[in-house]
Order: sequence, then C-alpha cells, then structure tokens
Amino acid sequence: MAAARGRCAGVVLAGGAGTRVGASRNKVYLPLAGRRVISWSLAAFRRSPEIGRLVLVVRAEDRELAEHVLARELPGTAAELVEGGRTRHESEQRALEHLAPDIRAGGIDVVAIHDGARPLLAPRLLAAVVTEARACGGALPALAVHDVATMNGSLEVRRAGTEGGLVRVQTPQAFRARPLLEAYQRAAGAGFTGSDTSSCIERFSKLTVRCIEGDPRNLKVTHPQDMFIAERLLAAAHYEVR
Amino acid sequence: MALDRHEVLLECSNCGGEHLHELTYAGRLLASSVCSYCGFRVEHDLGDLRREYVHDVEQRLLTKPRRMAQRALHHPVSYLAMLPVAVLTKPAKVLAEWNALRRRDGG
Repeated sequence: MAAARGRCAGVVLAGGAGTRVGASRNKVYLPLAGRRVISWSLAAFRRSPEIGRLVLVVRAEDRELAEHVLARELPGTAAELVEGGRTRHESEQRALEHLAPDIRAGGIDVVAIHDGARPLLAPRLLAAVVTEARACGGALPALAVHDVATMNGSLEVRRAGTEGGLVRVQTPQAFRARPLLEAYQRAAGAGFTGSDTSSCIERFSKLTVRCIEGDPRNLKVTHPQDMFIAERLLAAAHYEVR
Repeated sequence: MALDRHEVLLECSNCGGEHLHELTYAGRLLASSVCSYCGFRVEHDLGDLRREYVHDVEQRLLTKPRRMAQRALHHPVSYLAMLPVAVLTKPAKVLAEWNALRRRDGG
C-alpha cells in the first residue's frame, strides 16, 4: 500500500549474545559469503519498501567496527546506531526510546525487531510480519515443532506429539509501534525483563499477537555448522536472499 | 598462516557447551571450525573447498571492477588512500591462500 510505505521502523539487534569471553568477536561480525553476518541481516531491511527507519543496536565496543562494516558493505544505508544494554530487553528498550519521538508523532506505525544473527531473512517474510502486525497488532514468524515429547522427573516419556501447538519462534517480530512503546515503558516501571519482544507485549499490552508461517532457512547462527549451512544457502541463491 | 582465522563463542554440538570456536576461512569461504574445549572439528571437504575456492576467486575477479567503482563512488578519499596498498597486497594474499589450501592435508 502506497500510504503505508516507509512507516515501519526496523530494529536489528547486534548487542550482545555470544560475546561473554573477552577476546572473542561478536558472532554477528563473522564473515559469511563475502560480507559480515550482520550485513546480510540489514540488507533484507534495506531492500524492503516498508522500512522508513533502520536502527542497528550495537555494543559500545563494537561501534567502530559496525560503522566500518556499514560503510564498506552497505554503502548508502542510513542505519542509525544505538548502544545496547546488558540484556536483549534493555537493548530493545533503548531502540524504542530512540524511536519514541517519531512513534509519538505518528511517523512510525509498526516496529519490526530482528535478531542480527539471522542473516537469511527473506524480504517477503519481513513484509508478511509487518502486514500482519498492522492488521492485528503483533506478528511473529514460527515453525511448527513435530518431533517433541515431554518427560517426568524419572525420565519417562509422558506425552509425545504437539497437542499444545508448540512452535519454534523466529524473528523478525513486528508490533504496532505505540502499544509496543507503552508496553516497554510499563515494563520498565515494573522492573520486568522479558526474554523476547512478544513476552513483554504479552504481559504489558492487550495487543493480539499472531503467528505466521516462518521460514526454515531463516536460521539463527548458534552452532558452527549453522555458518556452513548459511554459506551453502546463500551460494545456492547466488548470494541473494529472496 | 595465510587463511583468515576468527575466534567466536558458539554452541558446540559435540560437547553441548558454549565455547570459543576457531573459524578458518579461505578467502570468502568457511573452511573449518574447531571447538577450543573438546576439539570437535567441522570442516569443508578439502577437494570441494579447493574447487569452490578457485570458482570464488573467479567470481571475485569478475565483480572487482563493479565493487571498486562502488567504493570509489561512496568513499573516494579512503578508496584512493587504500588503492596502492591493495594493488600491492591483494595478489599476494590470494596466492598465499591458495598455497595454504594446497599444503593443507585436511587434518
């Protein structure tokens, strides 16, 4: 829709996970198929016509590296750097505070929050979560989990299958901007720290959050072999994620 | 030591812990990863890696003019400052990568 074009803000988190050992590099800056992991994540947002503002949340010590990577690998991309906090929740909060004036003024109607360690985000998945969030309040991509069971304290299998409708949640997670900002302000007042964006929304807003079909290729770099798989998938797509 | 090495904290699928891993790259391609705690190694088949490396170098050469033009357009000053160094060091870097791959026996 032309009227809604550019009113979504993208927030890409590169603030902390996987960096607890002093000498180690933040995994989002690892090279992957000729670029850094984070560049692939940001590129999907840059290509989306929905995105009006793009925020990259970084650790203070990574700021210089992030600026270098942006200049070299994504020239011309107007990403705004915001320093993250100690937790994912705090990093999200800082990004929202950064966007708050534009959200209050109505310039941003939806915020899509993405984990920078997911480099294979397809623009159509981003478009789908933003559209769904605009329609119902919040949306997140998820994949059904089929191979699960539960067990008791004696390691006996109690129940197998997915009667509870278990899903594996991915990012980007998108929400209407104003209720999202308000939820984080309430969470701050209550001293609440959520594990992800939707957990805060669930507790501090009345927004309906819907699952949409996730993308199995939208993997999160967690194990070393994820890097090999991501490289293969990018090569198979001729280094373009569609 | 021609192959690029990066140390990063990742979850090891062998020992299950979150430990430093050394990732080794041949040019743009990931060659191997080793867990610093249990030594578990994941690596690209050496024959495949050599073939893909040659193909990748061809691709890098083919796209180099476009990438250089983009860099010159967006960052003319730093581009001009770096150009003499790059012209002198890039061919040697590719040669060193290829020699390292030839010497590697996959172990």
